[in-house]
Order: sequence, then structure tokens, then C-alpha cells
Amino acid sequence: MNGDKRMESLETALRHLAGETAGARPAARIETALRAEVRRQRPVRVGWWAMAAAAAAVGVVGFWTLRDREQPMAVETAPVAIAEPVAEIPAVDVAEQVTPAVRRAVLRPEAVASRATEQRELTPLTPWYYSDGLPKPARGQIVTIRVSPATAGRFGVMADAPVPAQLLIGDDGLTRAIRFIRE
Amino acid sequence: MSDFERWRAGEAELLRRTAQGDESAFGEIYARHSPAVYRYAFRMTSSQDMAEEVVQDVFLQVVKGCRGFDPAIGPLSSYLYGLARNRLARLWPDQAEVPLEDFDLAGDEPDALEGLSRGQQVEAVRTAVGGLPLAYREVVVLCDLEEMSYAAAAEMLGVETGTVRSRLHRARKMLLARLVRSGVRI
Repeated sequence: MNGDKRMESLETALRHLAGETAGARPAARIETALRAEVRRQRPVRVGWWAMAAAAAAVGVVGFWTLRDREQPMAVETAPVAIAEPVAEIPAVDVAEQVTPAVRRAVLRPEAVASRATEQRELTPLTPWYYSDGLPKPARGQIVTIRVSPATAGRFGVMADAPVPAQLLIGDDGLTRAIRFIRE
Repeated sequence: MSDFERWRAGEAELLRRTAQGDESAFGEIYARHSPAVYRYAFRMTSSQDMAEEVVQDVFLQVVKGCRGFDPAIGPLSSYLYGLARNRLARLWPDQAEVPLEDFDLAGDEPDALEGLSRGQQVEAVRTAVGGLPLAYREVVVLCDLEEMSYAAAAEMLGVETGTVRSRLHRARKMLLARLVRSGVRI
């Protein structure tokens, strides 16, 4: 049998093979998976209501941020001892094991007398926001700061400028009380 | 702009929309091209699983917008074939260059396909095609099975038309030799 005849047979067989596979298609699940991938990269359409909701959220966050800024949580000055024990806040016990750095800052009843001559006048301690229910601190720290007129106003002190005040902060880091300094 | 250029520009637009998540645009591209890509991969591998894997890989590039596709260079079909080809080449990384065998048959060799039923012929040829080195299998699949012109196959493979012609001639001789040597009474 000559080469041309063999080649003809091969070409015929190849055509048959082509015909057998002409209708081959990938499984439908491939297209389904790919379409899901297309949908995943679809940009999120933001409606007017979503924009309004986002604006409202920004407003609320902004309000709380500004409000927090008014709150005198930053320590501004070196701690000082209070002039006298205050009735509504129990005198803080200074434990022996307190470190020197803390001891300088903590409330020291024995130091009160020596500082009695201090010319500044302190208002009574007033409970800090949301301090109701907090455990009484075994130790504490007094820090002197200046609070904004808005914050001072919340404690009944009206002022046009920042007001010096002292915060009593418990050893758990939570503020318990505030009092204002009349200079 | 000619109809052909408009067609190409339309495909570029479909790709752009697909990349933006337009499912209908993707559906149109997939319907147009996935059968050919799948057939090509299936004929190259003789494996449905592998062919589907190739289709998935190729069309994932479509989903991402085919950033390497330039309609001025060639049609999308060629680009997709190229992606499929690259994917398939990774399946047989050691077949970039293969030693050529002696494919000359004696004139009195019997026709290896003679006497076989059509189904047996198809199976014998499918096996023989699957055993060809990659470069030769490609031209058989493109020109003999996909019925692509020499010029189109050459463009896709990045070779001269004459190279396609000579490879195809050699590939057919290899097929005959393999069929005879495998003992198929053709």
C-alpha cells in the first residue's frame, strides 16, 4: 500500500476524530463559577439612602469625637496633693508597697497639713461621669488639668475660659471625681 | 472602520464591561469562545478535567479584563488560544524540544487503519495524537482537528506559515509511524 493511501486513511480518521469532539463543551459548572467571579468584582452601587446613612454616621462619630475632646482626660500638670480630705470621697489609703513614683502622686493624708497654707481654694469633689457603681479605689492619684468651659459647665461651674481642676483617678485608671480650683 | 475592526473593538468593549462586573458581557464572550478553547484543550490533552481546568484559567483572565489583550494586534480568539496554549505548555514543561525519530516507513507497510471500525479508528488516532510531542500535536490539533488555516495557526503559534506546513507534514508521518508501530492493524 503506498504512502498516499495511508495518508488518506489517516486524514479520514482525523476528520472522524474532529467530528467526535466537535460538540465538546465545558461543564456548566465552569461557567457558573466564572459568572460568580464576575459578580464578585462588580462595583458596589451606592444609593442616595446609603450616602445619607454614611453622612449621618460621620456626623455621629464627629460629634462624639468632639465631645470626647472636651473631656479633660489628658494629664496636663504634675500631680499635687489635695488640701484636705473630702467627705464624699473616702480618703485614699497609701499602701507601703506603692512605688516612689506613684507615692509622689498619690493622695497622702499626711501631706495635707503641710500644704494647708496653699492659697488655692478647692471645690468639693464631685463624682465623675458614670462613676456610680465603680468600686472604691484603694489608691488613687490626683492630677491637675484645665477643663474646657463646656465640661466645667456640666459640673455647675460657669466660665468663659478653661478652668483649672483636679481629677481623682483610681489605681485602675478610671476617673472617680473632679474638683475645681479657684485661683 | 471595517466590519472586522468594529468586531474587534466590540470584543474589547465586552472585555472592559466584563472587568466592571457586567455578567451579560462575560456571557457573550464565554458563549463565543469557550467551546473553541475547550475543544482545543480537550484535543490536546484527551482529558475533560484538564480541558475544563484550562478553560477556567483562561476565562479567569477574561473576568479580569485580559489586560494583555490588544485588539490592534490580533483577535480575542487568538489571544485566548495563546493563553490556553501557555497553560497547556506548563503541563508538559519538558517537551519544548524533542528529539525527532525516524518516521520513514517502508512502502509495503500495511495501512494501520484499514479494517478498523470508525470508533476504533478514532480511538487509535486519538491515542497516537496524544503521544505526539507538543509542537507537533499543536499543529495537528489546530490544522487537522480545528480546521484552522496554516496562516491562522502560524499567527497563533508565532511561527512562519512554512513552519506550520512542515511541522504538520512531519506530524502526520509521526502519526502513521506510531500507529503502525503500536501494532494497530489499520
